[in-house]
Amino acid sequence: MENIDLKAMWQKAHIQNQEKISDGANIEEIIKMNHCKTISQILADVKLRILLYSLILSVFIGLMIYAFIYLGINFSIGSIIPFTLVGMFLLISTTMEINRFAVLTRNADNLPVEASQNYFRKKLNRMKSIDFLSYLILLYLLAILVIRGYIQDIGGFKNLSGANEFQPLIVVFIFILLLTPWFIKYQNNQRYRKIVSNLHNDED
Amino acid sequence: MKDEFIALVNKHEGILQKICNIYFFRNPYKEDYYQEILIRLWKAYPGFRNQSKFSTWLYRVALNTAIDIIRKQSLRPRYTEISKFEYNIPESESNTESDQKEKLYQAINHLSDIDKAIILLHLEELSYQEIGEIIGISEGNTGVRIGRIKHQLFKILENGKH
Repeated sequence: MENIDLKAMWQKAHIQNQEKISDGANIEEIIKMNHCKTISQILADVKLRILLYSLILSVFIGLMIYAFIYLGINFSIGSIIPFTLVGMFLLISTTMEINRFAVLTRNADNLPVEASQNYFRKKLNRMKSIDFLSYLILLYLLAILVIRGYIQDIGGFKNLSGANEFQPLIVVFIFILLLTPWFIKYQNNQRYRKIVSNLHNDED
Repeated sequence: MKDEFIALVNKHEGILQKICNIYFFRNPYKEDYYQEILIRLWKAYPGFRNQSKFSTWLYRVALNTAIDIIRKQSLRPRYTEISKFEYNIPESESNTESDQKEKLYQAINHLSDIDKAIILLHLEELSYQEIGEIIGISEGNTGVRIGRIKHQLFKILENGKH
């Protein structure tokens, strides 16, 4: 089986003139560009989404500040929940897109191939850990605040009877808040699955 | 510096063509990625300090870029439609050299990104020391990995599958 001479096969296959990939391409013109068309398009797509999510998030935060601080509107816990969910969604989407951009623009071309892979792997893992920890802290704090607000709303622990119509909703909401960091972790693993599996293959 | 770079790249153009053929086998964006490799080589060129041969440095940067492009492809958020112009896969030629070339590239296409790099460098007759320098592994490890990759390739070439 192993009597195939790969080197001879390779040389024989390349005896003929190599068909040119970039026929007549002007190197001087090419190196003036920042990226090729396809990569530029990928990066522009991500940048556009970052801009869009950041803009919506800023407007949302602005409106919330205006309502809570300037107008001094006092919302009940029941009505804060949908706002919090929208805010969370916007924040998560913005962060995810920023991270995607960071992953797309990081490289260490001058290092040996394995070192470059390791550099990328470390950056990716660090980014995933920071994502997980930030969301863990943020959402657990939010959960504590919601519980505190709810207990204040119903007039203390002694009224925690289950009779309140909002109670099941609050429990589900808190449950969602507590699970979201793991959901983010899962999402990140899915998002970077192809890369990670490729890096693991190369580790073998 | 620019003229010197262009002259060196022109001299070693074959290396870039082979890297593109291996990493972007039947990829309609091959020409575009070839340009990206050239751009990244130019950006990295100030870091080339004549400590190694130009070809060694070129292999290293071009391979890193090709692998990075594959990463970017896998992060691509959505499918972008390919125009008729871009979708230009050459029809298979009937002569034996082309068949062999196609078969070999197809087999190599089954390997992992680093294995592709190692076998390319081996087939290009680079020494174990040079391969180790480009990939960042020891000479001993290079030998072991080449043996393993070759075994894998033989199996694919014999059976026509992984």
